[in-house]
Amino acid sequence: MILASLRELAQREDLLANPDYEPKPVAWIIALDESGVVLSVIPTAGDETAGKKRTAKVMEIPRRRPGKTGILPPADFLVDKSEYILGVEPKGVRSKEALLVRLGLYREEVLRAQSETRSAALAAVLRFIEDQSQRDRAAAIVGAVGYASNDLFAFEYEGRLVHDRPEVRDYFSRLRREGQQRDASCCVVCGMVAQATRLHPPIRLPGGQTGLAVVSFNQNAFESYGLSGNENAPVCQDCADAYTTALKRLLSDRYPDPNRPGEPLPRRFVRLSADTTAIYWADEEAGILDLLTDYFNAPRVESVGDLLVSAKKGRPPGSVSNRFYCLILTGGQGRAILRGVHTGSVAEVERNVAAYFESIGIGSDQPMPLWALLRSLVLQGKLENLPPGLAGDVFVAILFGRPFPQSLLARAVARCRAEQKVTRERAALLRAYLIRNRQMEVSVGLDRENVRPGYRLGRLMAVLERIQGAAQGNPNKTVVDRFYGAASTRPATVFPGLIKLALHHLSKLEGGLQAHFHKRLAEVLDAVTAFPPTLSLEEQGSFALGYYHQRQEFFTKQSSAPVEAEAEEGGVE
Amino acid sequence: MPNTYRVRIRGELACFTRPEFKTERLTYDVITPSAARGVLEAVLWKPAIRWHIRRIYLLAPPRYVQIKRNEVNTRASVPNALAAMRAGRPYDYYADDDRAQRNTVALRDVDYAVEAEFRFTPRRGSEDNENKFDAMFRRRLEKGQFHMQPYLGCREFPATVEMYTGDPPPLDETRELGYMLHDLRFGPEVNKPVFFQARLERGVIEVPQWEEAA
Repeated sequence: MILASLRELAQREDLLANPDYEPKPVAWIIALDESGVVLSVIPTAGDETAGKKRTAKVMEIPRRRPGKTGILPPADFLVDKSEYILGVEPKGVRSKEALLVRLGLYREEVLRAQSETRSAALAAVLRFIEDQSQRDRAAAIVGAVGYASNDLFAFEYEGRLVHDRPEVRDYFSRLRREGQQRDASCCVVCGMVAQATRLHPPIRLPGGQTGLAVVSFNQNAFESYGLSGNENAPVCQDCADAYTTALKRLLSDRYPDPNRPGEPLPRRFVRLSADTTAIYWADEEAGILDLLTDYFNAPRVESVGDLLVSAKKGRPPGSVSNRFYCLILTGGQGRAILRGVHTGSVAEVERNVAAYFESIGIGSDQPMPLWALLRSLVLQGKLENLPPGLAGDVFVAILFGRPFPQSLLARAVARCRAEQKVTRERAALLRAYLIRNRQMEVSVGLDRENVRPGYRLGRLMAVLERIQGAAQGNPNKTVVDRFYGAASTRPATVFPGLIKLALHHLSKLEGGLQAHFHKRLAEVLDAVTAFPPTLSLEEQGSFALGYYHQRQEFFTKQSSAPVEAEAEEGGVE
Repeated sequence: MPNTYRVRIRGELACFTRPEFKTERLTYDVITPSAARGVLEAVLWKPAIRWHIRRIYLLAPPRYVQIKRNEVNTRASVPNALAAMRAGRPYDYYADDDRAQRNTVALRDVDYAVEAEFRFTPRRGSEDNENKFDAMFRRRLEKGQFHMQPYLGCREFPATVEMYTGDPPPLDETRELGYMLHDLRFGPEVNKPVFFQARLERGVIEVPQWEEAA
């Protein structure tokens, strides 16, 4: 189902206009004349822009062969690395023999092509290959400028790229369709009876190793019924090309749009962590697909606002029959691993994303990106410290309206305790968690009517902190710093003492201020009949929220026209 | 007219592995006819009969769960085992040197009803008639008897098997499921998988006949 749907995506976006070619960056172009003499070797990259490595120009080149390892690594047709074309490589890692082998394999390919097509361009290339002096010249030219071992080289003859010529293209298409003679079998993806490919084209995951195959059986424990390798899942060449091209398109930052040259197709992936990526697509195009990546990485007020409004106003949503797919991919063990496969309808995804943004509203205008929220859950805000599956689980929970993982609550509360601080991001996450997982109604701002003990006690904490600040002129170590942990977990042990302390503070304040805070204290304590000995994890979450809401309320009151002396006393904490 | 039995199959976990994603197991959305056949054969099988699945009813929506397990990369080798046996020493293999971490995306809390019939094979004997196997099957299903634990795709996911009474009713869902494994044609030299275009229609999947799907 997944592969079939990917194949449809490839067809829909015209990614396979030329199924035998693929877009890849080619770093160097070697121009030849008819006797194979090098006319020039030109780098395709532009000048180095500030901070960015120079990027080579992306062109459609004959599909590269997978499995370039071992003693006889297959040479690509016409466009390949310097090891194969020039017989040299910059780092000096390869032995002389290995380089000669590669050169030889490359030459064979070109020889065969030339003898079949009788193309003058290929003849020129062949003469170049066979001429040591020309190869050395080319090597010297690129060596002087500096090149990488995986830079690709292409040839130009009489002003045209050799691999672009029609006779060469035809030859390569024919070449790919030949195969070893084997029984045709039913393709798993399209159901047609055709010859199965031996090796599927590999893909590259962002931040991961290259050359990972999605469908692979690279150890014999993974094979069954006496079948070996990809016989275990026969896929015809066309389907293999189609689904891997679709995957490459989904994983790429700027996949060139085949219909609009020079323009990239919209991104369709979200990087969840160093080695995990989520990709998504749908059966038919829908507006939300283009926006989804931005929603998670860098949400903008206008677009999120639009989303929320359209959900409420009942603007035509994505269709219910338009299926939405999300895959979580990670690399490892030499394979591309599908960590999760999720599907739903586009309509429900829109609804769910809108609901998510609704639930993380915490009184600030700017919606927060997902990575910022997740970063608040770990030590020093380093995303590497997140447990591996968490980002993916949260992402999927958001898209498909599922409950968040339990660990989200535990981590948020633990971090609040560890840092004695409830940040805006953690408050947003706690609110979203309580709404979604516990079906609680949690307000965006301060909720004076809320009588839950956890919430009230959190508010109480904020009030006590404020009182201390007012009385002692904002000391470095407040009562919160010392007692947040105990207050949120074992309130009965610390609050009586803290209240006594607060009364002392209050007595130090001047009349008007004193009365004001007395009133505040009374208001908060009103619903508190007793201090519970412990608070459950969920109540600790409420505690953090109450604390945050109350503090925020103090700040906003601060900024609005201050009538009372309170404004002069407390600086911004 | 062969008897048709409606059998309810359910379990806590199931993994009907897709052939293309066998390495990092990804399940089909519903039970495959070959897995259903496997469940029935676990309850009753004799050389004289062969189970044919006609329909699959989906009684619970597919829900997924992901498990990561430590496995190994290689298969045991018969010649090595024999050699070790003869030499009187243990088979020289250390799993820790051969680790493979494999991910499994399985189904959770599955519930299916399978409509199936059995047909006679060339190995039918003179005393084999329908009533005999009918009685055997019903009796075994009632008692919960089986030749081996019925399982849902993978041996580690046991299945509960009983007669289907009509309750719960099939889910009212209609969608395309793509190409699904119908079954394997086991042969003397080559084992061929055969696929069919699966369509869920109001909770029912019509499974093509053995001959059609080939």
